[in-house]
Amino acid sequence: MNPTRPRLRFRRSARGLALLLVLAIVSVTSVGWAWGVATRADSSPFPHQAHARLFPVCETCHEAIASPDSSRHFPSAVSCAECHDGTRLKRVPWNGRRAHPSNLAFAHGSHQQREWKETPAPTCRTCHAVGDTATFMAVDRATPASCQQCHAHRAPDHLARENTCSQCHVPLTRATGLSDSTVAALPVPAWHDTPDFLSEHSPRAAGDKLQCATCHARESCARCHPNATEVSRTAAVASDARVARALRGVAPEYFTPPSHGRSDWASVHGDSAKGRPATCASCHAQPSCATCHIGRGAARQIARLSRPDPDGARGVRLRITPVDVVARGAVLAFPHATASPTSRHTRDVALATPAPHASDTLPTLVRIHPADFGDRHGASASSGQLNCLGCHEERTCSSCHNGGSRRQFHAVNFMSRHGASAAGREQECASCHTTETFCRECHRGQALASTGARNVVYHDRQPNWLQQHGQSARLEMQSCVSCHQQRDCTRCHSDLGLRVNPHGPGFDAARMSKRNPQLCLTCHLTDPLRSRR
Amino acid sequence: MRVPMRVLMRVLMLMLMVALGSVGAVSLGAQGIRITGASTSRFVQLRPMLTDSVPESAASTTDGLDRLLQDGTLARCSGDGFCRYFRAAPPTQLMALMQDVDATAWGFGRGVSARAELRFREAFGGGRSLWPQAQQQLDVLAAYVDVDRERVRARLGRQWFGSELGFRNFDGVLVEAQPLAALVSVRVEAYAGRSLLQGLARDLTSDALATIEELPPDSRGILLGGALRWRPAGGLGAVRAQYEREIRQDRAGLYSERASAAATLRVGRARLSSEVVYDFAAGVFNEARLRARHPIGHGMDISAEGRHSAPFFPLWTIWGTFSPVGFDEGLVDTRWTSPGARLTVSGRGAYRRYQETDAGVASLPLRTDGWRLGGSVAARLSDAWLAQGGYGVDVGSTASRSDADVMLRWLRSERFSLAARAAAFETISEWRVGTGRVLGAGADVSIAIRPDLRFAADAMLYRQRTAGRTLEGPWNQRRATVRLEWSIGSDPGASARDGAR
Repeated sequence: MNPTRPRLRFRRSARGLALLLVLAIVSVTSVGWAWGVATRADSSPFPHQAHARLFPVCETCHEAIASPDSSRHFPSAVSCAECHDGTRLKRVPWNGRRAHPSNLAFAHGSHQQREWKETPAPTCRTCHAVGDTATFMAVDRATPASCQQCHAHRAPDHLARENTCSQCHVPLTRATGLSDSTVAALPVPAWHDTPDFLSEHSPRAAGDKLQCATCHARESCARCHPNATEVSRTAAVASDARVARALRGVAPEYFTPPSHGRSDWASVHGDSAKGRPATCASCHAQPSCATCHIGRGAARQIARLSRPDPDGARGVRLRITPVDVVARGAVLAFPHATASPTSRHTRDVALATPAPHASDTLPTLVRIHPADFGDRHGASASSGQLNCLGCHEERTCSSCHNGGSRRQFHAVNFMSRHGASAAGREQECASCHTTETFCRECHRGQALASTGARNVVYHDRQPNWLQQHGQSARLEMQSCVSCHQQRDCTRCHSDLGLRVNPHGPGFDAARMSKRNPQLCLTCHLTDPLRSRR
Repeated sequence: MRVPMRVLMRVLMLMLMVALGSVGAVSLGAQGIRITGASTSRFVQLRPMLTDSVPESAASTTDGLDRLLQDGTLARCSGDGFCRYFRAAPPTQLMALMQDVDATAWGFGRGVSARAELRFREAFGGGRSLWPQAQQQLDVLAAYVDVDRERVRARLGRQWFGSELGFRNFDGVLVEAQPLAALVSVRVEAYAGRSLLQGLARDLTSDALATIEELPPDSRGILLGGALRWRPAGGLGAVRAQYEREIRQDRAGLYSERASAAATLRVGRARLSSEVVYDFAAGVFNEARLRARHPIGHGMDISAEGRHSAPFFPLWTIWGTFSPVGFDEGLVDTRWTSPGARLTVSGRGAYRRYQETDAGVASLPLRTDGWRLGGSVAARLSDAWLAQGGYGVDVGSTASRSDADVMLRWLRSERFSLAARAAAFETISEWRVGTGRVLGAGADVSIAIRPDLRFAADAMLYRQRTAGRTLEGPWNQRRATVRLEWSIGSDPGASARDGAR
């Protein structure tokens, strides 16, 4: 067995593959060159000036220029072959002009047949002459600027905002001859990039709709507007499969209205939603609302919005970042919003460059609630100003108020720092914790709570604590209660103890006794208010 | 630290209960059922206190009941030849488990649903006895039937609700109605039932209280209350008034009688909110607060608050008869947010003064005021990086603290985030950490494995730099938490469940 044989076989195979590769490249290049030559020949401009002495008038060749059939606007191959027969003159690759797809509304016939009153009737050279117009057959294809010579455009250029597109162009949906690539490559006017374009682009008059329809179809609207098929303004726009194909995968674009920038927008947007639901529906579909409104709150208003078509726009997408991810004091959520002008139309040809959906918007941080809301939401929640259950599960409350502390409501290791906060009642501990059970049990477990033993001193930084404790107790009774039982106090402050009166000067014994007479008997052997009753 | 067999058995029992409940709900004709849960495991190191003694001769002073030791520790010498004092015990550690399960079943009829909230807890390790409620393995926080119609909503069973009067748990009925919806946006609420311990949902006469209080309530409580809520059209604001009393079941008296009112009002761009809570038994306002917030342009807003606060104590305790006083506080905070909310800076300050106590001795005055100052910065460095920092100081009559926290978070995606944290704090005038300063560092991670499954974990390490008495011992600790949040079952219409709400 020869161990080198497989290697040789491999080398031969590699050589053969390389040869095949070279042949393939050469073939493809040759075909491409030939195709390019043919294409170039088909579209090469006719050397008009070389024929200037041969043809006295344009109509010699463009006899049927007034015909609506553009294939008859040019001479036939037979006409050229009368001279270019291969004997007298070399043959030319002209096979006759095919119909030229266009979205122009221009017709040579109408310009010829019209009665010109104020201006002289245009000739061929009016639109097609280049350079010195006196030179016969120094012509080229007409440009938009040629049209603007007569059509009195005040705009500086073809794509200026002031232009009336429909004067020269038919709606895109009627320009059926345009290919997908041509539709996708339609130029984007510079004024579409202005900061206020998105907020101002809604067509208000019939003329505006025609203006938009020159380049857009219903799919253009449906790219961003989830209600495009429901609103008459957009539903009336014809659909176009080429636009649909060009826009497939192109991300929607949204802007943030000034009203949404209000610091309290999250709280007050419900009023706008009730008053002007159609405005909301322009950018928002039901999933936009359902991001936050998981409960029954605002169900009626949400039902007015459209359910997004799987192939259409989903509307502004909101995202919620878990509160415990961004932690205390941080931004609570970053939903939608976009629209830095620089973020849009970063290429001249907007439709030809689909962008991934992930980059459709610039995430903007929006606080649903103020930064200190976690500490100060009592009045809002209690007064019903915020319909909490519209956005929150019930666990939202209980995870903090039932002691679950899911959300890092307190700072890290609050267990060790909570003394000052509790004493100063920065947040009311009793709104979440039963001080009797929650605080005292924990303090007792760590031997902080009083056990009643009097042979050891705990308030060890206060040598004169006995003289001070009365004042301290009245200042911070809740702190005392977190360690001491009632019995610790009644040892001195009761009829069975040292009978030290703990009541302050304003103490209204009758008031408390009226509501619970047994309270008095905790310390007094007999009802001290019996004579008053 | 091994997980005892009985813990595993109880977890299995709980899972079995949930499964049986689900099957039961479905067999009763529920259209759908959804169960969410959060499994939390927490590792904690603690350093409890214990009583120690030295011979009387070791005290630096030679007379009196309370004498100082060499390091300044105060000890009580009661005449038996020894002086006793508290000192730090050796560190101990425990593992606490908590399992929350919420189940909701719906579709029994138009607007009819059933809900249960269960909490299972267990702790094991050397410090198990130090953990609150470690003996109470199962709490049924809620178990009720809910009927939700156009104008009326009613709940029957064990339930809870939050209001200005605090968080209340009770067994009973709650009815909420909107009788004149077409004319005025007024809601009427009424509730009644047997009152339960807050957050534990257990009787007032249960062991939960009796084990830590020698004079617990001797009668169960009956809760009665009602509220009116008005929200005028146009989003101007809202008002809610509530009255509540808790009656002894033997009708011998009340445990509490309170009322509250809360209102929010929008005036131009300003927002006013106020709260009042009044205790009829003590004749004092537990809370009276007026707060105004106003944006002043350029991303800045400012708020000011005036507040009176006095503690509330139910009438089964004697604490209210000791004439506790409240304080009056003024607070200002301001916040600036950069365009695009990349940077947020906030600051706050408050000053409070306590009412006259008519107690104590003039030669040994206690501080009767307090103040707070603080600020925070949150910066979104890029779409993926978030930095936060904050500092606060709180000086009060019996406790003070100074602390700072910083955090750097990497949000790789909506599903994954990782953060590094550091903290430093100092508690002054307190007896545990004393004159020392504690530094901490750690990290946390959050991974949304699936929309209905999220994992979170954190770990922190603390080191104390002592400058005080050695008897307190170094307060060095390690803490860690692992948490798994999950949900199963169908979802009645919610489309975005990935965020915490």
